[in-house]
Amino acid sequence: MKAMIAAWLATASLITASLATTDLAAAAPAKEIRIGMITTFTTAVGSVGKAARQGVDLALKRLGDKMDGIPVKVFYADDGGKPALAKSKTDELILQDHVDFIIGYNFSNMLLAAYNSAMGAKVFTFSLNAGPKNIAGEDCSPYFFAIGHQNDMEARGIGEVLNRRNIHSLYLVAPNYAAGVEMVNGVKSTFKGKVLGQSLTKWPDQLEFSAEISQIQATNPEAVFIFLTTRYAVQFMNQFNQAGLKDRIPVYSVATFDQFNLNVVGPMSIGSYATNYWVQDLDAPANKTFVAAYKKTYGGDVAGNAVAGYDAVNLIDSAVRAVKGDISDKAAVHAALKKADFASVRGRFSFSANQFPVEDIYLQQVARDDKGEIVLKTVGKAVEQIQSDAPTACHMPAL
Amino acid sequence: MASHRKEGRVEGAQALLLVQQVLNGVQLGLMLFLLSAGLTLVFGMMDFLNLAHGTFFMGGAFLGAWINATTGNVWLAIAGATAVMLVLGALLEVGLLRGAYSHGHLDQILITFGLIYIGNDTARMIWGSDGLAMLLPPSLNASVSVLGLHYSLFKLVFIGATVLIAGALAFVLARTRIGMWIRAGAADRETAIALGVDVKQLFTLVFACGAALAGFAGALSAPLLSASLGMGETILVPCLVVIVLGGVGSVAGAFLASLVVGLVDVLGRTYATALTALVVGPTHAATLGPSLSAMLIYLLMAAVLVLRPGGLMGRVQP
Amino acid sequence: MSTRLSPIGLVVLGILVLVPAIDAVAFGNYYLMSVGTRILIMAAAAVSLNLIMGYGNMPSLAHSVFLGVGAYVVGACSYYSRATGAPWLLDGFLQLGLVLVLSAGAAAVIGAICLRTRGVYFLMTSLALGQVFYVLAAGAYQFGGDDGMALDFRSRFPVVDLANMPTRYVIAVLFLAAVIYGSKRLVDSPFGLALRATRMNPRRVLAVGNEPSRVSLLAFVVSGAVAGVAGFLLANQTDFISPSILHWTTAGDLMIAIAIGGLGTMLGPVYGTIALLTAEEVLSSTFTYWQFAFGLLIVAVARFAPSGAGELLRRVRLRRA
Repeated sequence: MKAMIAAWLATASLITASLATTDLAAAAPAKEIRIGMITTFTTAVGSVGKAARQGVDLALKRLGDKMDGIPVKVFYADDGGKPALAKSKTDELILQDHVDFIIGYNFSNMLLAAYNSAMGAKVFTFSLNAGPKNIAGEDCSPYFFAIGHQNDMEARGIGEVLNRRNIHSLYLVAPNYAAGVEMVNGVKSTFKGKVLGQSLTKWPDQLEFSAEISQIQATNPEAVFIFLTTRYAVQFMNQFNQAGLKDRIPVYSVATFDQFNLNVVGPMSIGSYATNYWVQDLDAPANKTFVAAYKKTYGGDVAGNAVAGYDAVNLIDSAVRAVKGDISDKAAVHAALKKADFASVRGRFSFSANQFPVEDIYLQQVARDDKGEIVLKTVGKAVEQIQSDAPTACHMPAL
Repeated sequence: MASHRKEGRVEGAQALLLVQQVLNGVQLGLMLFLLSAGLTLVFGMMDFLNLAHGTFFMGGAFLGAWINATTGNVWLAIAGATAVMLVLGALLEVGLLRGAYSHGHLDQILITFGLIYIGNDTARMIWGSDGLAMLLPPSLNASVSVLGLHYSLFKLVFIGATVLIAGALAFVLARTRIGMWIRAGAADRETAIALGVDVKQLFTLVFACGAALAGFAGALSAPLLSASLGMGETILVPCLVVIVLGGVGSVAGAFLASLVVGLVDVLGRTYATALTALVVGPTHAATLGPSLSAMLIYLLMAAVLVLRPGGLMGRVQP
Repeated sequence: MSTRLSPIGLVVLGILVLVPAIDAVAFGNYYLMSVGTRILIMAAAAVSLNLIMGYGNMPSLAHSVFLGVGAYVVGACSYYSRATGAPWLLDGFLQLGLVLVLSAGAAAVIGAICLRTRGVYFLMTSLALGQVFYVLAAGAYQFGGDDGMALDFRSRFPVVDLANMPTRYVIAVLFLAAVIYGSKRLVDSPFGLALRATRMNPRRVLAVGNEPSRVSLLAFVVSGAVAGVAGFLLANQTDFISPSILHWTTAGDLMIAIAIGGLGTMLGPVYGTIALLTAEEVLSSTFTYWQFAFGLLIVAVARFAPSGAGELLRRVRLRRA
């Protein structure tokens, strides 16, 4: 026993001694641009990750897998929907694969788990969807760029739409977690009418929505706002319909209807509204190229999550070309990234001081197209050139 | 005068809301009962804790939605899903689980936990990760109104069907020979064996019927919940709460506990925020209320177990 | 149940522990070390759970709570230190003291309630109470609510710098070694005998004079405090706190690790945790349907090696001999 303890102590001191002298920073790999892509590829939200990857792959294919003549290599990692895995897989990308850029993160909790790892290693990180308020504000970093949005941008757009449409009363439903509260507060920050009530539902184990729907029935608002992803959207709309409310009260939503659940939730949601930072029929040259290429490669309509992946790669490409392939000069890369000097499929696109997007938000409606397919039809712009509402709280640290 | 009338209307609306929420709670409770009945019998008889029970629920939902989409017949979908789960349950019991009864609880947990993973990924391979909706024909997809109360027709069908099943289950358990064996097995396995009951076949039967009930619950719930990956785990924890609350092995206890859990869950979600606001004010209540309502069934279970360690209708523990 | 500490097992463990260090020193590859730190801390938590579950017959799903208390103390101190600008909040010894007091206190309360029940009822009561804490953490919006929060500051100790990854690894190694050694001493002591006896026959213990629930409760508190320290280290390792650590599935994972490695053995939980978390890391980056493969693996182990993979190895060795 004693000998064992001695052996263990010896082992430990050996490790300490040998490591004290080594330097953590690894030599940058030459002649290759390494991109790590990490998001949720498995579980019930696996389609979202798959679509994001389609966007990344499509953009790279268009670039011939090269940026400024340098070959690009992508390392894919699955966070399995667990914060602990998001962290360790990010570490793997940084410490083992020595990536130069990280693209990914659909969910705020995954991003937050990995945030310190990526920022500490000074790896430029591009969040495809997660855009929590604290990172837009007090925790901002020069190494972090939000490609999609700040979480509540579309929700603030909804408030503007409701005001323009003379809707005076509203009931809100969102899950009781940080992004859910951000969405609810986002709508409330722009909506000028009366909020008759709100339900913050259990997360993630809400079983069904009968209690919430009965409350909507009881308060009888002029419109309902929902932020309910994946199966929660289906369950809510289902029960909303069966309660006979769908034709009486219009539903306005964010991040609720998407390419993946539309064939499931669509038939029961026709007429409902959604706001998005990108729409398929958007009239921008880059978008037309993108949509055509996507349809040719993958068939079918574009999954919205592909957009941010596509734009992220093109943003990186613009910076690599601006620095003529010398990505070791982080200051130059950073300056080039901030310019957002690439043709976003969203049309007008730039970064605000906290490196979150400035972009248009569109209003869409669930409808049947000429062929009878259920699609999100663009109605118009909800709000133009909206930007993060937290830039004042961000004191961007030096590189 | 006018204000009086308005108050009266508000009170009326509040009363209607309460009636509606009670119905919602009963409906949720009955769904939990369908799942818990099989789980509690399997546990009571075989001393086997089946964590994969929720996976049968998910399987039933996916099969129901799929058959419904293919054939357009809701009743065929529900019957088909139930039948497939019955066969699957029997095969699983004979092929894999039978040999594990003698192992400890921990190994049983491990095996059935592994089955959850396998079940989820199998569903993902077959139906993709986006889930399936089960659309009702217009005749069922309607709401009925009685005395100003609008309620989903299908939910009433759900309640009716489940009450029928519960009644049938009670009859089989109380009045038939097989039911007697099952009760004997659940109460005292050794004596039942000594009396000449073929427990091996009985176990297969009970396990398969439990799986079928879960599959039935899944298919019947699919029009309300739709089918999605992971729905089995979401429902599993409330079911475990139900069987422990009711007393392991007691179907009547499971019935009572299901209704209690269903009502507490729905009414908690409805009124927790308003009640919390009375104490801490509306600003804090907006987020605290939902948290409290999420805790309610756990607090309830802990309280019951402390006061009655064998559950509401369970035997006193050895 | 065995309290034997196999020398071969220890040597193999020592070699395993060296692998990430060699990979880092010789090849400049720090990934294994980063993952290894988390695995070793979780292994120590598994050993502490095995202490009450394997030797004391208390299958507790509330073990996540104590890990969470440890992690949230680090998080809360970091948060309030930034909010108030008070550097003394970051003092590692102060934080450790808080962790010990709070996790032991939480364990005393939870244990006292759960110990009114036994077996599966114990399991479910601990699940229920644990979930109450989970909901509390998920509702703590200043700490990011359900999303969790990246830490601003790690705990600070004199001389030892926790921002340095190899340092954290060495600490994790030493912590695991200390937990193994400590639990070995504990189960061999008269107290440990009494604890093991409660598992065999609670009535007899009562007759001999050790009230079973008091012995059990003390073991529960000790185990909870160790898990609290593990949570403290975990937060410092991942630089992040999240309510997901308090969810009952964290304890569920530990139980599975213990079951794979062998319940009520000294080193089984350690090997089980290493196997489980490594499988998760490796499979998830290899197969699209990794959860299917993972499920098959668990079913196979439980079905064909009912006393854990360690037991299987031992049986194979015996047959050869």
